[in-house]
Amino acid sequence: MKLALYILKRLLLLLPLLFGVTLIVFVLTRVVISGNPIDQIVPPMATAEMRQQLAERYGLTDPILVQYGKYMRNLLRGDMGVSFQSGLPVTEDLRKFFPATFELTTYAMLLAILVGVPLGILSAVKRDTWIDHLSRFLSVSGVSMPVFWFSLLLIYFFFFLWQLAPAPLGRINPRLSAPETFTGLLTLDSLLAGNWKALRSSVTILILPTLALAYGAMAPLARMARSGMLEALESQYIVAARALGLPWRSIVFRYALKNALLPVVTMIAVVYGFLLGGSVLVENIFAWPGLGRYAYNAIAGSDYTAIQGFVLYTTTMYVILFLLTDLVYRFLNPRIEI
Amino acid sequence: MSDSVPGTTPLITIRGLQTHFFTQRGVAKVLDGLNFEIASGRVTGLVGESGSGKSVTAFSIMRLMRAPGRIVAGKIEFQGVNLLQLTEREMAKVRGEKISMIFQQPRASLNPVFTVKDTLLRVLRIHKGLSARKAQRAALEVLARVGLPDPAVVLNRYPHQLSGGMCQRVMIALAISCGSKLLLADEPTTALDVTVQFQIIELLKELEDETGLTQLLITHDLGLVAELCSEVAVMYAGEIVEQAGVHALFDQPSHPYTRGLLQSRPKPGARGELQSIPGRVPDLLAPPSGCRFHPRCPLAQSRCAEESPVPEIVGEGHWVRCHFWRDLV
Repeated sequence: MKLALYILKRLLLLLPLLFGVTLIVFVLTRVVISGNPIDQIVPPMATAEMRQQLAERYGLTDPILVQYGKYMRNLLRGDMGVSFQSGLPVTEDLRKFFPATFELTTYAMLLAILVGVPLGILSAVKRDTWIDHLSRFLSVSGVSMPVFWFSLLLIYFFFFLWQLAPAPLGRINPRLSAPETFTGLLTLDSLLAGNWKALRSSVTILILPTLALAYGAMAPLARMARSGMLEALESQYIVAARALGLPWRSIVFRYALKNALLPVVTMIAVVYGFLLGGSVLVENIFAWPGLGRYAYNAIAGSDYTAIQGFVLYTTTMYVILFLLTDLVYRFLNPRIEI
Repeated sequence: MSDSVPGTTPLITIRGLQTHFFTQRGVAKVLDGLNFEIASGRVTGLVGESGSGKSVTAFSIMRLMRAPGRIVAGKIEFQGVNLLQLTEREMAKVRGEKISMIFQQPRASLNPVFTVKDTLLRVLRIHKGLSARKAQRAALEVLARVGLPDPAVVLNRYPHQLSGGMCQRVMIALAISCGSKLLLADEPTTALDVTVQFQIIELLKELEDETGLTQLLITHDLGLVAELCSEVAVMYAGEIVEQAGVHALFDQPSHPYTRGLLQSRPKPGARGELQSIPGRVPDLLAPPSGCRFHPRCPLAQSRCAEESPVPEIVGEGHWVRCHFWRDLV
């Protein structure tokens, strides 16, 4: 009950936050971004008069405060406006592109956690051994290697040279029909539909972009896990636990680990939130129809409504992620009470 | 042996213990051939300034020295076994079951994300092989034993929900839960409030009286020594310079350093400035030649810089390591 109240309170706090975000983004899109969304819809031969008419129809000639008022009024009804580029409601666009990004990001994040966290922990426990050096090499290269270059390497070797991976063209082999939509996640949908061909295609095509994203995401997790574990292992309670004759294994993997995981959980939320915004580079290279590409195109085309919708989406994602993090923290760390 | 205590057998005998610190500036021979015994069934105080090697002695006994410190040579005999020859696995069975240790920072010594129950039951199950239910009962007993008012409540608490004094009681409960013969108490009251200090001292006293628990009390607080200990060893720069029964030590301090320590503590009713020992603890990377105390010693003569003094008998169970101790008496 207390927990439900807490969650409700946190979600209510989202409202003023979103209000502030709309205000900032609304002003920034109009002040900072050069270009005019009208360019997206006017025919190339349009006269200045036609442009003016269109701009008036879309309310772009109103004073900015009036525009904002109209936008907010629609937003309260759940209407984010119509994208200038796609001609569709922004909510619909987001709904369409979100599953692709969510699917890719979640697999990449799972891979990064499964590899990065154990790697960081092992490198702390086996400090200055080959595994520590390997971990350091992987994390330093993970953060410093440009993701577009790594993506191209992956494609060059696995697709072009060795032909182990399918062509990096979207989420599923274009010659296959996509499975019936339940969740929007192609791997899950094909599994639910029992469509094994689609499952095979969607999984194999996911591998390279997942690797590309996970490599960079793994690095901060491994470093955080390592430093958290080192700090835990140096602490007084570990000395005391050793003085009690507890076995080294349970000292490391129980008493130190639980303490070491606290900062890692925060880092996971930060990295995951960042990835959920969509990776422009990875999505473009792998022709992945996700939000990163959507946002990139929106900015390039001065698509005000799409940009605003995208920013509201990422804000909400971050708030939800950090709420989840705090809930996980509650279970990991008894010193935090909600 | 010159340092044995009359009427007792030593529970632990340390011979020629060398614990060195391998630092970037060189090797600090903090313990360089320590000989020391802890009398069975007694509370022995180990006193000295910070940096004199008291804690290093205790951590060496537990074999918990961490880099850059390392035990290089020597023998630590406990119940007929040389602890330094045990494997790490065998040593883990000694820790917590035969020899336990409590620390200066009781709260920091307890894992912040686990309950008292988690640690205590695990210790009991690992050393005693108790079933969950029996371990629970034993845990409640030992918590009551260390004077915690509501064992069932404390059992489910996290360290941050307990006061400092309660944390130290829990640490003591953990230490004695499996029937340890020897308790190494490294400044167990330093971080506590005065009233709480008193309660912990009372508890340690009770443990000695009722169960005959042998204790090594590491402290720089001579008042605490007078309160609790029957034997005292005074440590200076990694060497024991004087050892005696507590009364003999206070009545007839025979080492100039011991005397300096006694004079540098406040006495009731006496006003005016406290006397302090001039100079500071030597850098053990380059310890003084001969007697390690001679640069600070009021009695020092040229011989002191050349020749390291050997233990000389002052009285029964009382010895001192000084060339000129007779001049003091």
